Amino acid sequence: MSKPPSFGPDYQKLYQEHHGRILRLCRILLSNPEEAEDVAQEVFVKALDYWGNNSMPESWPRWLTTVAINTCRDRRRSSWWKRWLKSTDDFDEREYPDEHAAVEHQVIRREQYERIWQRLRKLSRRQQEVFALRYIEGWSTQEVSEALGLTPGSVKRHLTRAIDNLRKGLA
Amino acid sequence: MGGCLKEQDLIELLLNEASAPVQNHVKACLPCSRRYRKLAGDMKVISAVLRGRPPKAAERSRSWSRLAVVAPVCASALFLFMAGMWIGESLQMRGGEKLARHLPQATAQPVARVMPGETMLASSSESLSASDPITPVALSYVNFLEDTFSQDDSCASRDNSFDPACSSSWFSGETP
Repeated sequence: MSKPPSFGPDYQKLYQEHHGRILRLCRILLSNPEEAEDVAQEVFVKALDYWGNNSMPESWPRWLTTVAINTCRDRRRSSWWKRWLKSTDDFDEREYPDEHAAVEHQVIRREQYERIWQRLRKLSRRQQEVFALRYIEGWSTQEVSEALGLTPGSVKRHLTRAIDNLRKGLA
Repeated sequence: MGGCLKEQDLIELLLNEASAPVQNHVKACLPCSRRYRKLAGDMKVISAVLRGRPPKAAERSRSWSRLAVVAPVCASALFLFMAGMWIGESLQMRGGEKLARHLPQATAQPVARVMPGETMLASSSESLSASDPITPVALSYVNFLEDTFSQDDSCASRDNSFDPACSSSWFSGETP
């Protein structure tokens, strides 16, 4: 690897700051913890390559998010049947909520937890992406529309439908 | 602002993108204020869930839902294939039966017309006579036979001196 550029954060810091966020985004877009970890690693390998070429995006967080979304799209497109074959029947109670979840989250009932994830899976790919970027990542409507190539009005509609569907999982 | 807010307005308010009239309306309108609080509470729970790891059971349900899509498609394709096979076979059988039904008649009647004495010999399964009404199939068969016979006699209608195939029959026919 060539010497990292002198400006901006170093690679390790970048990894520590954004790996958790990218992993969470991949989990939402892929709904598979193992595959999400693979993709998150892949994103940071791409970042390393980019870094090695002395390239520097305008914004690393945004670059990482965009690459993560595209990698998740590729993964979903190419290997849905592998994920189908690898799917397991076990439900591990330790899988939810994770150690970072606050105490109030621990009272969420198991059924509700499952229902919300199931609802998320039933959303269209666009709705998932808009929801993840706009609500989970906290991007503005304008930023999401530019990143996904949608109009702001379309972003709002996708978000409203996504939230409406997800809320049905709470009923 | 008259009337209660749409869901999209409340979501924009939740995401700090609402206009001032929307904010003022929520402050003033009790039903909208309740709806907003409910939305905020729901989204807090949803956000907490989605920040955790996805449960494996949810993966299973997705795979079953995928199976629910794939299985009917495969079953339909199989059904169409089997139906196609069955229809093809039944058509073949029907065609064979029709042929079997028409063949004796089709052969017997022309023969009876051309050679009245040979009727009984030609009809193997049914006893037909020359006076039986002729069917369209039989008529077409007669035409076919007549065409065939007339073509066989083609050597007679043209100059055969340069055609070795016709020349032998020409000479054999003429030589006593």
